[in-house]
Amino acid sequence: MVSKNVLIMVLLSSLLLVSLALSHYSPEKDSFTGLCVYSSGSISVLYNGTVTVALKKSLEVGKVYTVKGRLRKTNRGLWMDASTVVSANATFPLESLEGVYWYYSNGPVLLTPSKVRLAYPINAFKGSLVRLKGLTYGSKFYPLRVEELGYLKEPKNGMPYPLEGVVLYGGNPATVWNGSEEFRVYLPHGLSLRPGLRIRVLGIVRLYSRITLYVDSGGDVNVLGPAEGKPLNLTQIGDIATGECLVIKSTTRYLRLDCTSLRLYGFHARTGDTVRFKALRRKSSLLCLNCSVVKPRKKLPNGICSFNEGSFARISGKVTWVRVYRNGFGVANVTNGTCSVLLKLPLRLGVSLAENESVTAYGFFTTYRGKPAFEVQSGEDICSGKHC
Amino acid sequence: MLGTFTGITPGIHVNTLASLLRGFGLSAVVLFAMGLTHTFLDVVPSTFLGVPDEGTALGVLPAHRLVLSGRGLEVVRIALIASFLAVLFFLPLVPLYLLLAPLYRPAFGKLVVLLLTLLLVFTERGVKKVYALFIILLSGILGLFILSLPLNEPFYALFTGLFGVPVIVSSLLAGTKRIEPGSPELEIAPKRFVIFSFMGTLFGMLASLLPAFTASQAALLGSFISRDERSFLTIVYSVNTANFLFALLNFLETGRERNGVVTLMEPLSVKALPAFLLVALFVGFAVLLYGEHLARLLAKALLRLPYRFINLTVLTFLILLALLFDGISGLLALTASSIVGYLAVILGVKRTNCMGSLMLPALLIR
Repeated sequence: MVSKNVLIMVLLSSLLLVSLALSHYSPEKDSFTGLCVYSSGSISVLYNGTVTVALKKSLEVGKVYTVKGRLRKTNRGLWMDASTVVSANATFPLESLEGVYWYYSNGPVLLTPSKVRLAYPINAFKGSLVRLKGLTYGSKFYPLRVEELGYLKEPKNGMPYPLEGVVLYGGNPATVWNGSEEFRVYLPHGLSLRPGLRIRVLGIVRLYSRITLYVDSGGDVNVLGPAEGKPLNLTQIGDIATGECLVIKSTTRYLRLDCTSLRLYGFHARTGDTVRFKALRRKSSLLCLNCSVVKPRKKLPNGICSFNEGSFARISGKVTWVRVYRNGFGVANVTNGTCSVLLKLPLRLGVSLAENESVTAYGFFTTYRGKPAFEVQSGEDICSGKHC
Repeated sequence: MLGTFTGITPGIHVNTLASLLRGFGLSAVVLFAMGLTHTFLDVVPSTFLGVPDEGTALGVLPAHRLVLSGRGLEVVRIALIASFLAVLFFLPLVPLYLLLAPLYRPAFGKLVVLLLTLLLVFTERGVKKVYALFIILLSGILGLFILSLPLNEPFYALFTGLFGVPVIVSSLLAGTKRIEPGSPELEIAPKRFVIFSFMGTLFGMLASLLPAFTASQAALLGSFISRDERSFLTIVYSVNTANFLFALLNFLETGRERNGVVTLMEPLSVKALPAFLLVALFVGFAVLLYGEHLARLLAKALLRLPYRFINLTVLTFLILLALLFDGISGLLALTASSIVGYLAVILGVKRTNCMGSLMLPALLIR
């Protein structure tokens, strides 16, 4: 028993001595500082721009670590049996990239305008110009430092651009006026915009014959409210004009008003009606947003005695005689008391009048063979016993 | 040929073989065939010379007991058939494994190792529980220490020292007489053999899934189930081969490298599996045909030599190999491991407690 104990003591002492001798072969601790570019399960990979080291630790991708331990070569590259791992600052040279931050469904990118895939999202607004410092590993860039430089001032082909303006033409694509230029904006499927809205959209610019913006996410479309309202005479493109004017011409597509040379689209009234309108000022027209007839034309005074060549009026009276020429053109003399005027009846109006018939017409004073006359735009502007 | 050479050479593990062949640019199928042949034949040195590698470490003592009782060739036959059965059992388990492999989480492996450690301690009796704990901790610290050293072949030094050298030293001190290889007839019921081989295959599968859980630890699990040397050896050698096969499958499915041979392979997908399955069947059948004859030849050759001389030669060979691999530091590591292995012999606890050398690092290292 004693000899067994002695043997054990001898063996343990020998073990101690051998271990002490062996400890001289313990390697100096290697140290490596690198950016974590991969981590899966318990394996991580650090990279410092030139050297890649793998280790059996679960680290966070995108952070810089200093690891200490035994560094050894394997057939797959350098491996560190790390004993300590601490977060650190990057002590290695970093690459610098400048571009616009963007992300697609398959991950974030930096558009320079060529696409540089980012390994993870950065703390910056989508579409903002950023300066990144980090490392390229494999096909991805691993940003470490982010500096936001605002947004692009001018649209550049292939680059994101935040467009703020008023929708001139709605739907998808929509046309947006930013105060100086018109943009054609393609929205994500299912989205559309109403004219007259002030919006902010973020999309990728394509410079074709016109500036085109492709918006890839509904989140990149923000409605800021309606465009600014102004009196008609003060409006510029993209403003909302307000006013009250007389309709001097009415077609199926537009109205012509006595207060502006611009056509008013999107509303129907009859010649002679007075309309109050709230309309979007486009490049060369107005689009009715909210319009109504405030004074119907039948309430206009009878202007048969107030001849003024070129002015709009309502005349009402009795037809004293009618003369129709061989070419179909006709003239009817309309009399009210002592006042009379020749009402022109071109064939295109499709209107015929008879003597002693009461008639009301809406149009402009003119002359016919030196005599006071009155002409209308369409057959609807003449009301007689048979029709109005 | 290479697999056969390394298989019958004492002290060379399949991973050692892989590192020796680095740079030869061998194809994945050749590497696989070599590694598989090795797992069939590494029974020879561990049986007749008492020299284990990582996969057969726990088989040394029971195998040696059978060798000493003149049943050496039976051990070889058990190993060959158990390995071949592992190849056969591997085939239907492939789909199950392909489902399980991606689900592995490191914490699960650690839990299994911890349970195994507790099982080791509490299956000893009386004061030996303390001795067992002591050996587990001592070998664990040794494992941590040796694995932290810049050695080329740390596992060689560790396992040859813990399991191989003490057997040879004990033989030298005890002055063992000449040993006959004996009859290869199996003294285990076929049904029992098949059941234990299947269990070994399952344990091998487990070992390849959990990186903290090695083939030896899987065999250790088997030692609690088996009650005699033969069934234990059946488990050990099935584990050894199954672990190799499933490690390849894990590599194909998840890219994880669970043994040294697959680290030499170029990345492959699971589509390459049918080719490997054919090679596995071919290699298994071929080695089954010549393995026993080869072992008999070697055993007869060894029989002509004095046993003390063989032991001394093998010991010298192992020491030289340690020097070759890692110089003086390798020799010192082998010495330290041998002391711990021999302490387990003196304290009379199961040598399996020396597996603490892997279990403690597995539990402590993240």
